[in-house]
Amino acid sequence: MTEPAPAAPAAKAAAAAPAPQQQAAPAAAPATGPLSEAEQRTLSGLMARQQAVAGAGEPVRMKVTGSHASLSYGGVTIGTEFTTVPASMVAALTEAAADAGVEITQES
Amino acid sequence: MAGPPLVYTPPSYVTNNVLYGVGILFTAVPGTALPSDQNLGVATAWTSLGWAYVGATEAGVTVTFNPSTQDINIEEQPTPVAVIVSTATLQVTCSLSEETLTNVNLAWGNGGSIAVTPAGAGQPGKSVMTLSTNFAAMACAVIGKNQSGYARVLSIPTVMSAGQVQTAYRRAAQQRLYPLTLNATCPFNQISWTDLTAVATS
Repeated sequence: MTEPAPAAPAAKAAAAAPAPQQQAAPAAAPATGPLSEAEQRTLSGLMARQQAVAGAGEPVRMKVTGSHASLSYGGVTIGTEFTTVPASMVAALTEAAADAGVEITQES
Repeated sequence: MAGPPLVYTPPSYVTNNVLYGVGILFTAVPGTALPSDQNLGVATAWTSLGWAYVGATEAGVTVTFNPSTQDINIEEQPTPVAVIVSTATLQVTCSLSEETLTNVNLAWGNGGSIAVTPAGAGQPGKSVMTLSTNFAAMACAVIGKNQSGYARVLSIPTVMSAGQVQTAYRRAAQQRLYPLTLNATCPFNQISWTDLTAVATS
């Protein structure tokens, strides 16, 4: 890819307007070489987060009703106040509640 | 005519790098954030984010990395021309010494649910764990102290508890133990060691 020639200040201001696709690319060349330690950590965190919610949608809020005070499953505890539950765990929690005979309510 | 003397100067070793001490095992729902770098060694920073400490163990925490390899051989030489990793497992194991329903559930696959009923008129307070084979994935972290005295954290974003659990009820020989086997189920490039090496400059 060819870099545009150095522009005068006026031309730079004009460049702020929507530009052709070729000029929309970042001015700096993409980084190459191995990831730095900080980049690796950031990437690992993002990938873990993505995997945790992949295909799972938005979290929902649930609470326990009836005679029980709480229900715990898979590290998530739902009490009598609405608690945010990762979407990936909603189905399993609902099933666990049914198995345990616990009533739960999901906030709509 | 004498040449230069033959000397023997082995490299020095660093005794400070020989580390020991218990590891601290936390588990959480997958996707739970780690504490900030500044607070990686602060227990309350972990628990406040939703991480659960497994408590006392019989013999500490053991981390086992076990790759199996496949040699690529050619007839023309006796040694392999390459050694390829065919499978690799990473396990975190320990024997839980604190018998709580949470720990029993953790060792038994993390698939059960625990329903708590408060005490009321004619109703004793109780917790009931209902078993299930729907084992739930979790995240885990093992924290130890490094040679600088700071935290060194092994973070595994997704593990599953799957291992034989045998608990002996003895009068006095030993406490009741719950062997815990956590198997990493995420790609290796999501698993990280973080080593704190120096305090922040400001």
